[in-house]
Amino acid sequence: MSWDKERIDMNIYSQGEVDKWVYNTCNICSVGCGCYIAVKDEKIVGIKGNGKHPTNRGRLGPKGENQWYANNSTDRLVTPLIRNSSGELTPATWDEAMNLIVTKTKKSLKEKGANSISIYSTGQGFLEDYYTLAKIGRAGLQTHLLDANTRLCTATTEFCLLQSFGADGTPASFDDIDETDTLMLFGHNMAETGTVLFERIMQRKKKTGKPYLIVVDPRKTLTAQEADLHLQLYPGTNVALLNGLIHFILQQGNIDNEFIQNYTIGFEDMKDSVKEWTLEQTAKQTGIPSDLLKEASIRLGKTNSLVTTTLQGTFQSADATTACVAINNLHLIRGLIGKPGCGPLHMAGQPSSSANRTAGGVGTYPGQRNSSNPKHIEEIAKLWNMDPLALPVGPEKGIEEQIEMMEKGEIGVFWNIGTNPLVSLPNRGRAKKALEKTFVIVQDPFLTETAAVADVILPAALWGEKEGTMENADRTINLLRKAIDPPKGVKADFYIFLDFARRMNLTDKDGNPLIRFSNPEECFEEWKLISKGRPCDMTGITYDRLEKYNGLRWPVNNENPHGTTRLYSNFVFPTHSEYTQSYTKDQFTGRALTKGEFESKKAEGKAMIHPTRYLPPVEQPNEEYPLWLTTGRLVWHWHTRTKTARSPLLQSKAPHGYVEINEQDAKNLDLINGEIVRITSPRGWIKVPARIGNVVQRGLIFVPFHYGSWTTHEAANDLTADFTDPLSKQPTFKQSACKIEKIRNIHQLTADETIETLAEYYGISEENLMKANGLTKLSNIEDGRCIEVPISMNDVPLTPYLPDYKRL
Amino acid sequence: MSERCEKMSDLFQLYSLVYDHNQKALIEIKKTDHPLIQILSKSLTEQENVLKELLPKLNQASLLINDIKEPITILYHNYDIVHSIFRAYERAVKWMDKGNLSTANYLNKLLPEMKVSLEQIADTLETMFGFETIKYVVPSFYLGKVL
Repeated sequence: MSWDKERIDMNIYSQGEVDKWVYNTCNICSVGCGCYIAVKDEKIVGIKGNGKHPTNRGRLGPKGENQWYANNSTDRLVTPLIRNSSGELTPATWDEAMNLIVTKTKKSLKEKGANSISIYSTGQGFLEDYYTLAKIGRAGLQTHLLDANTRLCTATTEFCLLQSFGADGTPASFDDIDETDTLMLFGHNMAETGTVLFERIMQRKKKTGKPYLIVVDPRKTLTAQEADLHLQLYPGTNVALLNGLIHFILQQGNIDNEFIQNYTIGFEDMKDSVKEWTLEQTAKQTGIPSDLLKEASIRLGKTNSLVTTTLQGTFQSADATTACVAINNLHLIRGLIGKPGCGPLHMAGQPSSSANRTAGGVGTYPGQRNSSNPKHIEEIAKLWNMDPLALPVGPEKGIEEQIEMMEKGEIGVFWNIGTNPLVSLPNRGRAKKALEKTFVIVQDPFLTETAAVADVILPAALWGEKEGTMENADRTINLLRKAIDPPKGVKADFYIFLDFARRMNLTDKDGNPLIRFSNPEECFEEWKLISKGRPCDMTGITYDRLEKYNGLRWPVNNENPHGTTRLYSNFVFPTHSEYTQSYTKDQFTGRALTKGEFESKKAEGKAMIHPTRYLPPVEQPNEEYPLWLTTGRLVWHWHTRTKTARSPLLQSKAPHGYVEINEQDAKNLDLINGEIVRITSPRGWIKVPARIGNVVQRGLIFVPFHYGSWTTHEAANDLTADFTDPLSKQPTFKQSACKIEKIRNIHQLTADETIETLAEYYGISEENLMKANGLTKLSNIEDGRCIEVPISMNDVPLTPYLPDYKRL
Repeated sequence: MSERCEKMSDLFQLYSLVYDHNQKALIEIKKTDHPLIQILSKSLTEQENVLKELLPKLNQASLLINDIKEPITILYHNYDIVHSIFRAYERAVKWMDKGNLSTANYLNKLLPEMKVSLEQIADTLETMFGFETIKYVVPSFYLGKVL
C-alpha cells in the first residue's frame, strides 16, 4: 500500500483566489505525479498535487512544483522564425514557415529518397503526438528515421525488455516497490531524479524497516547515503558486478530450478558466460571488496521478493543492454517476476519516453509491432489503409547513426521537436557540424542552444497549454487536461503535425487524408484500435476513465478493466514468433537476428536468458587523460534547463556548472574549493569551479550536463565521447577520459611580500592561498618563490534538497 | 548466357569481393586489441562463416530466393554492425590510441568497399526478384523506394 496519507504540495503565486484548478499530470520526470494546474485570469499561476492520485498522493518534487514559471517567461517564442540569407533568424508567419518546411521536405524526398527525412522528437510530449508522428513518418513520408532524445535516456529499457521478454513494458510497477523485501537501485540516483518515488520508499522504510536497500553507483549520491548496502564500483563495470553476483548465486544453488525449466530458455549458455566470475575476480574488476560482494549475493540469493530498478547509471554506461539483461537474468533464475513485490523495473528518464516507444514514434511500429514481421506490417497497413509495400521495414537508425548520415549529406531535413540536442548529445561539437549540413527545423517554446543551427523555428505550446496523455515509467497512462490556451501565435505540437500532414497532402492508398482525427482525444481513440490485442492494449481506456481513476496501467482491456499491476503473472511471455515485438539481437554484437534464427531458439512463450559477456569501456583513462569523467543530473534542474532555468528558485539553487572532485585527488593537485579549473578531454574543454568532497571516488570526476550555453564553456557534452551501446545505440555518457588543469597566475614573491599581503592583493583567503600551493603555517616561504594564484573562483554552494522523510 | 545466369554470376562476384575484403580485415585486426575490436572480430568471423555458406549456393542455376535470403539478410545486418563499430573504433583510435592509426586507416579503405558491393548486390537482387520479394531480405536503407 503506497503512502499512509495524502499531503498536498503546492506552489502558487496569485493575487487573489485562483479561478480554477485543472486536472493534469507533472511533465518533468518519469514518476508521473498527479497534479492540478492553478489558473487565474487565463494565466497559469501555480500547481498543487493531486491527493487522490495513487502515485504521489499529493506530493510534488521541487522541479514539478516550479515547472509553471516557464509558461509565463517573457522570452517565450510567439512567432515562427526563418533564417534569412544573412544568417539571421527573422519573424515569419505560420504559412511562410510551414510552406518552407513542406518545400524542403518534398525536395529532399525527390532528390535523396524517403530516408533523407529525419524526425527527432522527445520524451516529454504526449502519446497522441507520438502516434501522429509515427503515422506521418512511416506511412506518409515512408522514412525509417524516426528517433527521439529517448535514445539518450531510455532506449536501453526497450532493448533489454525485447531481449528477455519479447516485448516492451516494464514487468514490475511502483506497487511492487511498496511490497518488496529487497530493492536494488542499479545506477539509479532516485533521491535526485525521482524525488517523490524515493520519498514513497523511504517513508515505508522508516516505518517498517523494509525494503532492504542495495544501491549500485560509483558515486556516494544522496540515494547511496540512504542505502543498507552501497556497492561503489569502478566506472564501466556493471556487467562484471552482475556476473559476479549471479555466479555466486548459482554456486550457492539459490535459484528456482522449476521456474527456469518451465518458463525460460538459454540458462546453460548464461551459466557458462559467468563461470569465470569468482568473487575474487569480481572484486578485482569492480573495486568492491569481496565481503560486500558476498553480502549482496547472499541477500539477492535468499530474498523472497526483489525489485530492481535501473536508470542512467546503467543505460548510459558501457555494456548498457547487457547489464540490464543480466538483471533480467537474475530475476528469471530466481523466479522473482510476475509475483507481488517482484520484477525488474527498468525506468524511463522522461515523463513520457515510454509512450513514444509504445505509440511507435521511435523504435518499432505502433502497438509494439515488429518492423521485421510481414504479418505485423500487413496488420498496421490494413489499420492505416496503406499498401504494406510502402511501409519501411527492418532495424531503424538511432541519432548517432543519423549524425554520420548528415555528415555524408544523406539527410535533407532534420525536424527537431521539443528537445535540445546541441546540449544533450555527446561530443556536441561533432553534432553541431553535422546539423549545419542539413535543413533543420526546431520546434520549441524557447530559443535554445540548438537554435544556433536552425533554419526554421516553430513556437510550440508548453505543458498546461495542450491536452493529451503520457505514459510514465511503470506503464501508467495519465491524462493532462488543457488549462489555458497557448499564447497567441503559438501552437501545440499535435496541431503543427496535423497542419504539416495537410499541407503535404499525405494520403492513404485510396487518396483519403492519412490523418483523419482532428483533436487529441479522437487521435487517442484511433490509437486504441491500433493497440488492440497487443501487449500494450489500451482499448479499455478513455480520457474520462483516466481522470476518474487517476491513471490506468496498461494493458487495460476487457480482461483487465482497471489496468494491470504487473506483467507475466501467468509466466507466459510474448515470445511466439508471430506475436513477438522483435526477433531480438545478438547479445554481444547487437546484430539483428532473422526470423529463422529467432525461431530456432524455440522460445514460444518462454522468457529468454542470455549470456552476458563483459566488455570494458571503449575509452579509459591513460597517461595523458588520467581521470574518468562521468556526467549526470542534479535535483534542481531538468535536462538542459529550458524550463527549470526560468524558475527563479531552481536557478538560484544551482546557477552554474561545476566539477565534483574527490578530496584526495584535489589534495594531490593542491586544488581549492571553488577554484575554476579547465577540464579537457580528447573532444574539447570546459572551465568550471571545483567542488571538492567525497561523493566521487578517487580517479573519477562528475560534471552535471545541464549547462550548455555556447558562451560560458561549461557544457559537459563538449567533453563526452559519442560511443554507443551495440544493441540499444544509447550513448555511453558515463565513461570518458579527461584531465584537470589548473588555471593560475604565477607570482614571484619579492622580499617585502608575504602570503598575507599576497592573499589580500588577490582577494583570496590566506588559507586558500596556502592550500593552493600545498603550504602549511610551518612552511618556509622564501623570497623569489613562485606562488600560484587561482585566476578565478566561484562558489558552488548547492543547497541540499530536504524532502519530508528526512524530518520523520 | 541467360540474363538470370548473368545476374547470378554478378552476385557471385560481388559476394566474393565482400569475402575477400572480410578476410583482409580479419587479418588486419589480429594486430591490435581493443574492446571494439572484440566486437568487430566476432562480426567479421560471422560474416566469414555466412559467406562460406552462401557462395557455393550462388553457383546453382536453379536458385530460389528462399534458398539464400537468410544469409543475405544476416550479411546486411552484420555489415551495419561492422560499419558502426569500425567508425567508433576510428574515433577511439584518433582520440586515445594513435599507435593503431595504421589499422584504422587500412580498414577505412577496405570496409566502405564492402558497402559498395552490398549496395550493388541490393540493386541486382531487386532486378532479379522484384522489390516485393526482397523487401524483408534487404534493409530499407539499401532500397530507398518511395511508393
